[in-house]
Formats: sequence, structure tokens, C-alpha cells
Amino acid sequence: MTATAPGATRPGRGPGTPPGPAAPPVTASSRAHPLWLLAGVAAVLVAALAGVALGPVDLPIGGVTMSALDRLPFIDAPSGLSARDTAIVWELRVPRVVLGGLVGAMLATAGAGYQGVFRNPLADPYLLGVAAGAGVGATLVFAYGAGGGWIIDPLPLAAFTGALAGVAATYLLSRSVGGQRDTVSLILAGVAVTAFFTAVQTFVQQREADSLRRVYAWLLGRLATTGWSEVRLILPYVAVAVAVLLVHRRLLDVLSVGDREAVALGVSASRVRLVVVIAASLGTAAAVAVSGLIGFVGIIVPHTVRLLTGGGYRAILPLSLLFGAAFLILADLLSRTVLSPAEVPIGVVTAFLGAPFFAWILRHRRLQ
Amino acid sequence: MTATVQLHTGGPAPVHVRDLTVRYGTHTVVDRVALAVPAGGWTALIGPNGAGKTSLLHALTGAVPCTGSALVGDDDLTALSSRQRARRVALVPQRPVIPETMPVGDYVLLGRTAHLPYLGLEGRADRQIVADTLARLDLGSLAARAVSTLSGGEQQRVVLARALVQHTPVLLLDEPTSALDIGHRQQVLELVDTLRRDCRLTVLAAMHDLTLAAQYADDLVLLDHGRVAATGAPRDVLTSARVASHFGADVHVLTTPDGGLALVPARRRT
Repeated sequence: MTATAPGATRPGRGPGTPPGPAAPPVTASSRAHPLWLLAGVAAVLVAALAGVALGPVDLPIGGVTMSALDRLPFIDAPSGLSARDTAIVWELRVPRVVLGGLVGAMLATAGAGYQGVFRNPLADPYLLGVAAGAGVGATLVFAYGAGGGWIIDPLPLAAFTGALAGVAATYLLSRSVGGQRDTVSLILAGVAVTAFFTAVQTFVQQREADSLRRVYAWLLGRLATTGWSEVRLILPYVAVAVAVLLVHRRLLDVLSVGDREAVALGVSASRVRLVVVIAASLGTAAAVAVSGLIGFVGIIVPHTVRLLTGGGYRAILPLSLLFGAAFLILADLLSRTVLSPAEVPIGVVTAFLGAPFFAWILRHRRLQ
Repeated sequence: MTATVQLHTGGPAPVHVRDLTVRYGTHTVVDRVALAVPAGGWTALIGPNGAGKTSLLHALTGAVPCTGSALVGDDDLTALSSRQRARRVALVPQRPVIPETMPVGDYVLLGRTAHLPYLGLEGRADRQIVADTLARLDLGSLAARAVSTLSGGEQQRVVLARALVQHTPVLLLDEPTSALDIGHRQQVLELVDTLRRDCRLTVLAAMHDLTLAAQYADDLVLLDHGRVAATGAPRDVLTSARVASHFGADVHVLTTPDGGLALVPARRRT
């Protein structure tokens, strides 16, 4: 493979430029660097161990680790934990840590997906009416659904249904005014739907003042678990949504040159946008159903990853998944330990910690 | 020692555009245009701003809907998927969108999209094609740099490299030199011409510098208000009367010492 040429006969080469190497090097690809992936996995493991071990009853890290290993097939690891501690680990702490990881991973990858298809750094998972719709659903349950007699907990179902209704209303509205090619009309439709649903929610909330405090707490986000039921509830949605988002990571990089150039490169931008928006919205709706509105994760995690690695979406998506999970597990740990036994809403923790950290990264990177 | 890197284009193919029409709402911007570019030829689209040159090129890539037909060899682009089109025509846009922080190597790799499985990633062969093309265009040392940090001339070659790795028989250029100084204009156009001969590419280029269009293209197609106003060899198309009526410009059409054509703006003082 020789690719050298005399400089004099080649356009675009300045005089005196030394000839190129005989064999052109294969350029590095922008896949997530293995070290970053390793760091992400390590962050999730450390966060998970801390999340399981720390709480009102502090448990030994070694015992927790052994207890986890013991659950793996073919491994017999005596943990030394009492039966009560084992129950705390497997029925209280682990489900909550897993739920935090799922929600964090979902919100961060959904945020990255939205930012990619809308080519808008401010896009977050709640952009298209998901949050406002879920808010209406949850508020209706708090205001009128407290009577009991429910076979299943109505709150996640109402939030999930409301979230999907919000996205569907946004999509239908934008189709009727601007067509699917126009991303601006989609974002503006999201603004209109959010305003309307928020008005409905505020109206119901004001009429039923008893529900105010609980609605407010829900809006700020919380990861309360009752065993594994919440995890089982959202796992299928999150798994499918994250998988769909991950396989589109290279196409999100293609979309970064704009719709027209993407088409010239052979990709239908509107089709990619539709699939990614559906997957991200479905997953976000599932996350919102069990966690309320946890802000900031969907924006700062992808941007932090981008600033740190400098990569395209093919690096940002898998790393957002890992660091989003780790970040939310740690945020939840703080939310339930700082004012123990009371809980600080997790949305307060994510913003209180996330904003200064993000500002520091932003400043650090811009100065370079 | 010569450049022996072969860029595969699937063999030369002529372009035949017939009855091509592009409408934005009720506004017709390209009106029943017919043109032909012989295999391995260079045809320049000229015309005043808003004549429909860019819309015509975007219609060929599928970025804007159109009616009519556009044949590359025997294949009608208007009947193909965008993926199939992207294996037949590659576009160098007038103002490419350069993603912030994207390295040159990754940016050029985007050109391989139509050759990859829809949701798949590139393989070693694709990265080798990118590396070869970067070396061919003297960009090998810039592969790790962010495209946005390069100079205008370097960026233009990077965008050209992205189009070349598409391995299409036809290269579409939309005012490829509009952002460049006179030296870099010549370098880029010479590069395109060399690649055209080496790789037997068929070139259709919208060009607004009429002198450069006359120097590099075999044939000119003059568009005005979306219609073909004149077509033929540069000397036949570029008369001072036509330039006056279609561009509203007052020019001298001169013959250069080497027999070429040059258009010089005339300023008549009253």
C-alpha cells in the first residue's frame, strides 16, 4: 500500500512538505475508548457497592460483596451477614440501587439521543411533553385516586400513561402544523403541550390543596421502592429503549452534519429521528413513572461525557449509560443519608451536585 | 513514484437528467431541467444567485423532493432509496455543517455510511479506505485534528475526501471554491480534475466563478429562474450579452494568452 507522491506534482501540498509515510496509518475510530468504558463500569460498581452498604444501618463492604458473589452460579461465598442484614441488602438496598441505575442510565441515554436527533445541546428527556404529561397523571392520582381499592399501585401507571399522552400530543400537533421534516415545529409543539398540561396540573393541584405537598415531592423526584416490583415494572421498557438508542449511535453521528447532508450520505434523517424519539420517550416515560421528575441527569451526563472524551455519539451513548447509572445511584445515596431518616428529593441532589460539577468541567474544558 | 492509491467508483457513468422539477410549495425553483454529463466529463452549472443550482443538486441527492428523472448509467436516482443514491452520487455541499470537535478521520468516515449495514459499524476495510483517501489528499497528518480547527482550504479537502470515500461514479460539487482565496481555488479545482481523470469520475459542479467554470468544465449549463437558458461549450455559452441579460453584469469576455477564456468585470464611467 503505497500512497506517496512527489510534492511538486500534487495540488494542495505546499512546497517543502516532506513526503508522506509509505503506508498510510489506519485512523483511530471514535468508538468509546476502552479505558473510558472501564472507568464507567468501575464507577457503576463502586456506586452500587456504596449504595448497598451505606444507609441507616451501615453494612460491611466486604460482607456485601461476598453476599453478591454468593448469588452468582457456582460460587459459594459465605458473607458473614446476619439474616436481617441479608434481607436489608436484597429486599431494600439492592432493588433501590438497581432502580437508580436503570433510571439514571435511561435518562442519560435518552438525553443524549434527544440532543443528537435535534442537534440541540439543550434538549433533555422531558423536552417533548413527557414531564408535563406524567405530572398531570400523577397529580390526578394524588388528588382523586387516594381512596384505595386499587389492585396495583395507580401512580406509576398514571404517570406512564400521562407521559406517553404528552409525547403523542406533541407529535400529532407538530405533524399537523409543520410536517415531520421540521424539528423546530416539533420542539415548539412540545412547548405548547407542556404549557397546556402544566396548566391542567396546576389547576387540579390548586383545587385539591391536600395533595399539594405530595405532588410537589413527586415532581422533585424520588426513588422509593417496595421490593423488586418497580424494577420489574420498568426493566422491559428501559432495556428495549436503551438497546434501540445504542444501536443508533453511529447514525446519530451521521445526523450531526444536518438532515440534507445525512440524506446525501444515505441516511433518512427523519426516520432515524422518529425511531430515536419514540425509544427515548418510551424509556423516559417508564423512568418517570417510578421516579418522578429527576431533572438535570439527561443534560449534564451526556455533556460531561462529551467534554471529557471529546467523542461523537458512538462514544457518548454507551458512556452516558454507565455514568448516568453511577451518578443517579450516588445521588440517591446522598438523598437518603444526608438528612436521615428524612429524604431529600433526589432532583434537589442531582441539581445541587450536578450543576457546580458541570460548571467546573465546562470552565476547565473551555479554558484549555 | 506516483500516487497509486486507487479509489473505486464502480466505473464511469454518464448522467442524464430529464424534465427535473423541484417545487417548494407553489414556488417552482427547478423547472423541467434537462442536462447530460458524459461519463468522465465535467459539466458546470452556472447561473445567478437563486437560479436553482443548489436545489437541482439537492434533488439529485434526494434531500429535496422532485419529479422527472435523473439517470446515472441505467439507474434512475428518483426511484432509488437514499442509501442506494448515496452509492451513485456524492455531494460536496457549499456550506458543509461541521460538527464541533469531530476529528477529520471520523468526519471522512461518515462518507462510508451507505456501504455499511444500516445499524452496523465500520470495519477495518472502511478505515483503510479513509486512511488511503486522506493520504491521497495530503490530509494524513491531520486525521486526528478537529475539522473545525482547520483552515478553509484544508476543510474543503476534508469534505471532498468524505465524498470520495462514498466511492460513487458521480461527484456533485456545490460552489466548491466559494470560501477560498484564489490560490486555494485553483488547488481544489486542480485536485478535483486530477481525481476525475485518475478515478474516472463524472463531475457536475455548480460554480459561480465564470472564468474558473470556463477553464475547468467541458460544458456549461446556464440556469436562470430554474430553467436551462443555454448549454454548450464555454465559449458558446459565455457571451457578454448573455452574462448581461442573466447576471445583470457588465463584463469583457477576453481570450487569455494560452487561448482560454476570461471574464473581467467592466466598469463604465459616465
